[in-house]
Amino acid sequence: MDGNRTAINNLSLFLRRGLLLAPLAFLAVFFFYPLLAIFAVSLAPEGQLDLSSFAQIITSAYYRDTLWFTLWQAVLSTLLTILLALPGAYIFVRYRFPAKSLLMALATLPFVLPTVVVSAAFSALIGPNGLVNTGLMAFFGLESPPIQLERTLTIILIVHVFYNYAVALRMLTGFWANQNPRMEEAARVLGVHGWRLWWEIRLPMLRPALLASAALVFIFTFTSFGVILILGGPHFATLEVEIYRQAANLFNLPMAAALSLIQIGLMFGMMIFYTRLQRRVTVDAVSAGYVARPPQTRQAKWLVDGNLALMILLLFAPLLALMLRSLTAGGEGFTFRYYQMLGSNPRDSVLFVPPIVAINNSLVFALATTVLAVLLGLITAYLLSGRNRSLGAVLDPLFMLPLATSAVTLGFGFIIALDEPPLNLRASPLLIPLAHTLVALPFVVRSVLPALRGISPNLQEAARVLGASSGQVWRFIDLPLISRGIIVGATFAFTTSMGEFGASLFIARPDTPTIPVVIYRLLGQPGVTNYGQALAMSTLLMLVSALGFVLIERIRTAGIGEF
Amino acid sequence: MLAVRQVAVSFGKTAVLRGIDLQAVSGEIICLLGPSGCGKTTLLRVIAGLEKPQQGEVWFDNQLITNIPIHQRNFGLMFQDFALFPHMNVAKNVAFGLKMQHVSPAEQQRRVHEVLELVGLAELENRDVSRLSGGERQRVALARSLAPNPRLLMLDEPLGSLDAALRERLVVELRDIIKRVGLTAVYVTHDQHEAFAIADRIAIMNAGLIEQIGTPETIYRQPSSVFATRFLGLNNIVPVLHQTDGKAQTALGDFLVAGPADALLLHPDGLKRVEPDAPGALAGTVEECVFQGDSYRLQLRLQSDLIFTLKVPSHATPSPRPGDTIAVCPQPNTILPLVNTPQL
Repeated sequence: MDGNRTAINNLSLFLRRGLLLAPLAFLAVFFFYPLLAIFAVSLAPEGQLDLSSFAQIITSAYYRDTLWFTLWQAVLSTLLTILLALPGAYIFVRYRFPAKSLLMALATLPFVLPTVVVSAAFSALIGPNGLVNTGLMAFFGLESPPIQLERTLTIILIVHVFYNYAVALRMLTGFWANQNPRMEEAARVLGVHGWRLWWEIRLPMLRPALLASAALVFIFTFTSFGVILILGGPHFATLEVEIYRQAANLFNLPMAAALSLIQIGLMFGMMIFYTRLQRRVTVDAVSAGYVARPPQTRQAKWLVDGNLALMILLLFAPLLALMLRSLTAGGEGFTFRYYQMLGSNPRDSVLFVPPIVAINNSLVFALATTVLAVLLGLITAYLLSGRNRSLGAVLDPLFMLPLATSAVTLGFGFIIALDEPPLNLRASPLLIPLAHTLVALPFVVRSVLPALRGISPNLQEAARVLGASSGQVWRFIDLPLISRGIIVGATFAFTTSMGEFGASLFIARPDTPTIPVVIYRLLGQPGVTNYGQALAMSTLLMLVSALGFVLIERIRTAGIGEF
Repeated sequence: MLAVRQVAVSFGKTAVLRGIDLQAVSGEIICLLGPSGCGKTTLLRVIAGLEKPQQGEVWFDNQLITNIPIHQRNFGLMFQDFALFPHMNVAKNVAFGLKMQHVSPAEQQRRVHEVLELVGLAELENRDVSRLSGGERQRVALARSLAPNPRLLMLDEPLGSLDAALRERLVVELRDIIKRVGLTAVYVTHDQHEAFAIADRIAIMNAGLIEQIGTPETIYRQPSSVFATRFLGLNNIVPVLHQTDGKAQTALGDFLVAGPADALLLHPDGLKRVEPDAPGALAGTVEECVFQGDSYRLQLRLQSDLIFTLKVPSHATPSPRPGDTIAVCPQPNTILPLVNTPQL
């Protein structure tokens, strides 16, 4: 009897240990192995050390220009974003106005929108076939669109600001609102007024938040891919776009791998820098903080109205234009034609399958990703929250690494590592969910981990003393307490997968495309039919993302105050 | 000199200040004393210019300053949490006001040195403010307010965040420094002992009004309102039932008082233990007797369940015990008329 029991215990212990190893194994096979493949191909394309790709990058003006463009467009985008978000944060901290918290929540919406959707939205607003241009042409009887922003740096910068405005706004507002308002009063009593308050007090006090948000926006725009590829045209290439072109268009794998290696190195460096800054921005919400009051002076009212107008124009006009144009792209009034056409596949189409199949594909992939990411994420969260703190300290950054790796690099690593023995998954339908899981896993872990760490061991012990088995403890204590985190993580995983573009473009097989891939292909084709279908599909994807976003916001902010 | 005239402030529908009159002569330390929510900090902020009164005027040195912006007033203000700029070291914090006045760097340095010397922190000039103790922060904040030679110094609970022992020591030092510089000062606190120690005159505030203003001695010996009396912890109060020509009828008998009274205070310092048959003796039962070194603090239950507190010297024999019946008699000039706070 006893021997039997020990054997069962041993087996369950063995199984539990094995289960805990699953996320590590996943990371090893689908993250580190492809990463190693990139290292190998870049450093030794023919099996021997060969640094000619790197030499080419350094000596060739073309690659130097790509690096240089990647850098300065990111710097410019970051500066613009911070410059616009700073007055926005000011009015959110200082003033009370209608629909404030709703607006703050909505401002974050762009962050979850896929790049293809946003590109389509801006094309629908100010593209040659967009709302503004067609309106102006009809009104003034013009022959050609008066606003020519497609394939210019301006549109790239505008879209980068669109994406990152809320990131900066949230970080600055959160930090600022918890600063001590007496500092400013003390400075005013000592003789500061007007603009000098910004230089002497406000900006220096905001410094940690300014640096951290700037670093984050810089990271996002430095690795910008879809926006540059779709809206920038062939003249513009960031490092990320160049990796894709070298691999997918020119089949120059050693060069793509060498560029990926540079990208990986730079990203890791920036992530380390960012996490350091981020630590200084965590605020104790105990201090008094600012109290928002309604704007009283004319100047204050003007400031509030101006900022709100900018937010609404920048953030919502493109999305509204997208929905509107998806119904009116042909200029023959409102029609659902483009939505109906998603089900058909005309012979001259650029696609192998009707677009509706892509919707089906995306849904299946997203569901698979959600299941996989939640399972692995849960186990990872338990691994990280365990009693062994030094183990957690080592593993925690390890599981964040996929976040610091760009989607294009991940996709590229997949195609060079997983298409040949020992692990040939080229034809496997699992490839896309696996890549998406890699992207989504850090979000799931981040959603579940705080809830899990918040469970007092006393609760579990109390349940044990009251007679619950370890399974029952999990079922009746842990699960209810972390369920919100799981739902948030699952929603994150689902919407991430639905909108993921960079990796999917690499790995999606021609006969199993996803929604973003189809939108990209349609946008690249001439003709109002393709355009209308792209907008219709983008609208659908936007609604899915928005729905996921609303769900996340509702669960996350339930019971929490203004921000 | 400072003059506040009929100042009223309300936040939304809440009246925070209801017509305040206050004057301070040059070199005087005025203390605003009251419980939280009485409006004392708001009054200070009105004087500083951080809050605009809906009614009334603030004058300084015969100049109407109600509409003069804060940065042109040249006042000093010390906050309870000190509000030291975290991105500057001690010297830069102290020099900040001078820099705003475009004082030359050499003069800034001289002055910083001088005030840091004055507050006894000369050696900490280059220290980061995050590495200062509570007491040191308080001195740096004081030095920062003093450096630009303000015309008026305001202190908003400047010792509130420090522990009791440190507070007791620093309040004496603070008064010494302010007096040495010869500044006019307005000091806000809710602690009567702090107020007694620092103020030339105390204004007791309640519900947006000043209840009484006077020297610490006057405030303690002759509180004039029921609120002020209770706030000072003097609880030997008996309501007046009826008043006719200087005679006030109470549950403890009739007393002669000057002026109208809603209640009477039988000041604990004026209650003397007497023989039960002495004229004017009030008999009561000892409820509680606490030994306090030089004296016993007694709680006495009198007629109509009035509870009075008094002190008797501890060398008196025999020592009172709970349950004993003893008699006390108020000295004539320690029976004080009190009025109620006017309602809104």
